[in-house]
Amino acid sequence: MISMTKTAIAATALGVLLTGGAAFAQSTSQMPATGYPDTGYPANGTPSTGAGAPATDYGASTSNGMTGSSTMPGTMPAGTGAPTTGVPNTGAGGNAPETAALLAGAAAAALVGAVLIGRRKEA
Amino acid sequence: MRRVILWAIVVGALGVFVWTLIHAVFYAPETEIQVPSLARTAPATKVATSSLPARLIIPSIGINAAIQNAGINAQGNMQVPSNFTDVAWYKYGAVPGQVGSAVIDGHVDNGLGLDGVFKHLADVNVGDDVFVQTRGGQQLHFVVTDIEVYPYTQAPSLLIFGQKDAARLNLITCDGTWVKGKDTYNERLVVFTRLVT
Repeated sequence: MISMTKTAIAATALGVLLTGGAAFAQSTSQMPATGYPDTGYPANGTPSTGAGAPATDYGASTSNGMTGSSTMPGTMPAGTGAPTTGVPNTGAGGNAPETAALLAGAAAAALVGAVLIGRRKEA
Repeated sequence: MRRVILWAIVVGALGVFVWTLIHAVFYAPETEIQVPSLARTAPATKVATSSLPARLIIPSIGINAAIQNAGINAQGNMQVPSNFTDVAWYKYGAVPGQVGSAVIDGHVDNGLGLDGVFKHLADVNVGDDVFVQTRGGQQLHFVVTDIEVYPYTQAPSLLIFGQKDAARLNLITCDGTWVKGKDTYNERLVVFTRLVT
């Protein structure tokens, strides 16, 4: 009984490690050097304004009263109403293997933990 | 004490499982930053609520999706829909049906690699019909005029968001291969359409 319990605890620990490892791998894969998950896309070859541009930056913008504008230098021409850096990031599937591993690890940990609790109740 | 630890492990693992599953498959919102200068002058502020877009319909590829509003995310890019089945209209740009470039985006896939709403957007052809239903029930008819794929760092924002010569509707989604370090696909597919009626 004791060895079975130890085995189950070890299995639970393994599940937790799997989950933690997958979570760590996923978080680091999403974290470029800038500290943001996506550094933005330059518009028309101009430099990106950088991730996390604060809203106050837009305070310097002027409006032409037509379609909305952002006249931040070097980002977008005035009067376009376009995002300051560019196109949306509309895909999420590239991290599917890590996400699946995370789900599997978490499920394994929960399952083994539940089995252990059940065995202790029986004992 | 052991029982408490075991319960903590079970609850924690279940929490991780549920949170990950929800964000991978059902709900993945982006943080929007407020842009007061754009908000004040956005065309959407000058039209009746009934003129705003409600549904996007593309019969040739079986799309009939609800339209959310999208602003700008923390990276300065157009926001994406908060889920993988709706599309999102760029609320600081033109309103569909009015002169200017209205832009609608949608996910190509979700966090588990399953199909997003725009998974088959590349299958449309020039000449295909695209419809937008407004909140007031009006149906706007657009026709596909061009289909382009751009490297994600070189997508022509002015062409996509800024043309003002006609009532345009441009659809955008991800394409190409996954760039691991950047956490995005390396291309963007843009379907350009123009209002017919």
